[in-house]
Amino acid sequence: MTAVVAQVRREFLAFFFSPVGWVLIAASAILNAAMFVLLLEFLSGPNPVPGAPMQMMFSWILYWIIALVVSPLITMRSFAEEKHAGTLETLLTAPISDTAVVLAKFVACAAFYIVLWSPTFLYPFLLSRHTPIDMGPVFAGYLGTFGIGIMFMAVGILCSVLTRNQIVAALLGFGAVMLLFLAGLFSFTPEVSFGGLLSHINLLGHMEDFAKGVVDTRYLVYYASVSALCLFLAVQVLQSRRWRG
Amino acid sequence: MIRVQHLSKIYAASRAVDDISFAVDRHEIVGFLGPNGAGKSTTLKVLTGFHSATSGEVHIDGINVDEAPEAVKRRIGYLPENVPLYPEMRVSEYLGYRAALKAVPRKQRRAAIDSAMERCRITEVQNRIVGQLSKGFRQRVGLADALLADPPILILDEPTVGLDPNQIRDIRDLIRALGQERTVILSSHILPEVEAVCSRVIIINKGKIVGQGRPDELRAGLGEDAAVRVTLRGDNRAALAALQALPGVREVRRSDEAQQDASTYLVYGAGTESTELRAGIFGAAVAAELVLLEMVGQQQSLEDVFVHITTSEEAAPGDDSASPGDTNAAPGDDSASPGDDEEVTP
Repeated sequence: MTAVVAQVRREFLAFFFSPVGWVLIAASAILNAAMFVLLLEFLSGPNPVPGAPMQMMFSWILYWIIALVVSPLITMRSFAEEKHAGTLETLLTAPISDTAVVLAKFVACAAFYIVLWSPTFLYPFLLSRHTPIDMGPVFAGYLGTFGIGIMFMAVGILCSVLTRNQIVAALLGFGAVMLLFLAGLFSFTPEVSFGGLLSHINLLGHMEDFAKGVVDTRYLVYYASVSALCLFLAVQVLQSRRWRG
Repeated sequence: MIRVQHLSKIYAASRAVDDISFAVDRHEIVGFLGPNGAGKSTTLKVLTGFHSATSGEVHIDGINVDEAPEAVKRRIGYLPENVPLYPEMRVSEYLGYRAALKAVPRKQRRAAIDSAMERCRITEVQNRIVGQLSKGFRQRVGLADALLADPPILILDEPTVGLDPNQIRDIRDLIRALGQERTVILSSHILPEVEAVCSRVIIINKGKIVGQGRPDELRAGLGEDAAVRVTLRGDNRAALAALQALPGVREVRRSDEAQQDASTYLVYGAGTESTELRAGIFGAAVAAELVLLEMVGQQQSLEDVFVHITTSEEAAPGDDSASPGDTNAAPGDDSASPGDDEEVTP
């Protein structure tokens, strides 16, 4: 257990040892702030759309574009860098299992994702000075944001373990999370015969529910399942080094 | 302590390790010797559980590496080739992390780190960032890491590569000291190193064990035959012919040292006394009207054994004369390492 804790600690702190972590924090804080300002502009324009601002934010495409771009950048390092630098050998010859290493990296990335989103915690408080805010839907919205984001971390880690090149890992990860995100949108095209199935995994649709304060556990189970599958596959890929050579 | 049985490792296109078996006893320092690409690192990666064997078994302390990799890893301190470290961490931070990773109890961690740093003489750089350290220091940080959890077995892959002569001597002394209470396996393509440190040598070439034993045994195995290094001025061909025609000469090799109108030869006797051999060479030189510039009796070094073993299999019969310079041995020349210029890719 000490080993896993030590590994999570090292993985999390590694974000702050390298400029990548700081750039990500700054970039996502600025982009999220710009997104939020833009949203408020829309809402206070001449023809304001009716609705609660936080609710609109959580299911706004711009809010998710930031998450889609940032997520693979968080996870790209996780294994690709260690493979490239050879430190994977030092790590995996320490008395810690491959599964524990994958989990430690996942937990650290998930924690860092939450750190990236923490500046947005201020938004409801800023708004509450001007308009009453119902905190329930805000919490539910963050639950969805983190549920989906953490699933993206698992996807990104799988992409990172597949390559020794961080850029390739980021591109693969970006493609994969985009696919997960867009798949649900295809449920609206009549040509797709399994549109009904796709509508269940429409992440933007999930977010509309979360933002209303509806916490559907099926969504959370979906995120957990995808994450578990990706992490399981990541462990398999990591172990394949032993027989592939 | 370590038992390897019929270990083979096949990579996509090649057989990196081909059916090797050996055992290492407690408190032995064993040197794994071979040219680059011989399969040394691959074998060590299998021993540490980083890779698994295509076939064969590895037992460490009676435990099968494939069945209980973590139990095995707890017993091993491993210094991988090229010492991969996290460049962005400070030395003390890195060792602190590694100690926790290796489950050194919290209360003993500080002491374990301090003693490892002291043994490897890196205490003065403990607050420096790993990425900014010189190669020698990084090597020692890696070694300190291997020592942290006080493992009974140390596996060191090329521990002295890239170090200057003083650092090499330091590391050798350290390994020798460590070997008194631990089992050490180190790999190297540098012969004097292995000869200076190891109690036993396993020579590996092209994935196979081609010789093993104590350094003195291996030397003896090559024969008690005398070897003489002689420099003659005069016609090369005549000199070579004269030397080869001598009775009691097993082999003559021409050294490729550049010299003005003179050549150096290594003459290996077969059942001949060194004195007798030298007298014969003198006589032959006079008879062939060659000028004898220098003649020294040689003690066979491990390097001879190595070169003999790792090249004799490659040279096809009758092909010997084609490249006398290639198979040149330079006994007594400590700095030479035949592995250096042999780039064999696995």
